[in-house]
Amino acid sequence: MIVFYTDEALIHGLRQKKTKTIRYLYKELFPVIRSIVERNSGNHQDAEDVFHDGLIVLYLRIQNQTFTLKSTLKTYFYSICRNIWLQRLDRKYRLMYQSDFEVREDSGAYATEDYYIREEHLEKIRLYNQHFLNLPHDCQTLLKLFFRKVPLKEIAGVLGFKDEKYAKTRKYMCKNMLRKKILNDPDCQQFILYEGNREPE
Amino acid sequence: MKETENLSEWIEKYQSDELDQKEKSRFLSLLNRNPLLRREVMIDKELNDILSDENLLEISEKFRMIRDKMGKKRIRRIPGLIAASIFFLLTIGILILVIKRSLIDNFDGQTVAERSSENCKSEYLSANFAPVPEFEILIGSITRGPSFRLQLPQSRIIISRGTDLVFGWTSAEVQNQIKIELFNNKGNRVFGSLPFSGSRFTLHTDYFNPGIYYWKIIIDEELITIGCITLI
Repeated sequence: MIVFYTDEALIHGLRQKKTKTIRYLYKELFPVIRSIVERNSGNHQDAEDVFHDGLIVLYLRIQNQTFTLKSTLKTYFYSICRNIWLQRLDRKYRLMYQSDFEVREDSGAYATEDYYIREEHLEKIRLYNQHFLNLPHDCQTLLKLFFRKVPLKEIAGVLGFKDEKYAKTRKYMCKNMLRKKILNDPDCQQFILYEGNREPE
Repeated sequence: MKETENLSEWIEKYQSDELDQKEKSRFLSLLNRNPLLRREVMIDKELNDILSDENLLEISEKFRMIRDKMGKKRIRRIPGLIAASIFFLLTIGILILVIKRSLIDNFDGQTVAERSSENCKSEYLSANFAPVPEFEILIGSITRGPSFRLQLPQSRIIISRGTDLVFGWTSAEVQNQIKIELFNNKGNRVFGSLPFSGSRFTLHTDYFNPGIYYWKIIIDEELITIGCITLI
C-alpha cells in the first residue's frame, strides 16, 4: 500500500522516532541524497552516512517546538545533507593535504555555529553509536540502563546478575570493549590521534 | 581484578570524579606518560556524552535496521529482477520474431498457406497451359477430303471461361454421325458428345478450368480435325 505523509505528519513522526516515519523518509529521500553525494566524489556508503547524519540534524532541529519549515521538508532535508557533505568533503580534503600549507583552507567555510550539529561531531555520533550497536546484546542493555542512571543493584536484578559488584565489573568490561573497538577503528583515528596527543587538562 | 578491568575502573572513577586526591594525582601522572590512556579517557568522556542521548541512539538503531532490511530486500530482489528481465527479453524476442514473421507472411495480404496454395494453383494453372506437341502438329489439318468443311471455330482460339464455343461445319455426307471430344493438355478426355448428325454444336465452357484444350471432331470413328482452345 502506498502511503503519503504531509510534512507535518513526518515531523511529528520523527519527533516520536517512529520507525515507519524513518522508513518513509529513507525510501523517499535517500535516492536524492545518494544522487548529490555520488555526483560529488562520494559513494553509496558515504550517501548512507550523510543520510544518517542528516536525520540526526533534522531530529535535533525539530525538537524545538517553535521549529517552522520555510520550504518543503524534502528541500530542507536536502539542504541539510548537502551542507553535511560539503563540510565533510572540505574536512577530508584538508586532512588529506594537511602537510601542504598552500592548500589549507579555513575550516569555517562550511562549518555551522552549532557544535552539536557540526559535521565532525555528527560523524563521531554515528561511529560511536555504530560500535555500541555492535556490542553483545547484554552489554548494550547494561550500558543503556547505566546511562539512564539506573542503580547498579537494579541493573543486576534486571539482567539476572548475582550482585551489584558483578554488574559493576561487567559494566567496566563492556565499556572497555567499546573503547577498544573505537580505538581500533581506522575511521575513528581522525578524531583520536589529534585529541589523544594533547596534554590532559 | 585484571589490570585492564582495573584501568577501566580508574577511567570510570576519574570521569565521575570518584578518585581521592592521591589516586587522582597517580592517575594524572599515568595519563601524562601514556598517550594511549589519554585517548581512552577522551573516548570514554565522549562515549558518556554521546551514549547518554538515548534518542539519538534509538534513531541510529532504527535507521540501521531499516537500511539493512531494505538493502537485503534489494539483494533478494536482484535474482528475481534478473529472472524477470530474462523472461521479459525472451518474451519481447519471441514477439518480435512472431510479428516479423507475420509481416513477412502478410506482405501482400496473404498468409503462408494462402500463398502456398496460390503458388500451387499458379503452377497448376501454368501447367494447364502447356501445349501438347502430339496434338499441336495436327491442329488445323483435316484428314477427310473436301467433303467436310469446318466453319467454326478457328483452329486456334482464345476464349474466356464461360463463353460458348460454337462448332459449325458443312459436309457433303449429311448422314454421318459426328462426335466432338475435348481433351486437356494431359491427353485426358474431359468431354465427349454422343454421336449426332447435324452441322452445329455448342459447347459450354463453364465447367472447365482455364488452360489449353484440344478438341477433336470425329466422324464414324475417324478423326477429322483437331483444334485448340485456350480458356482464360
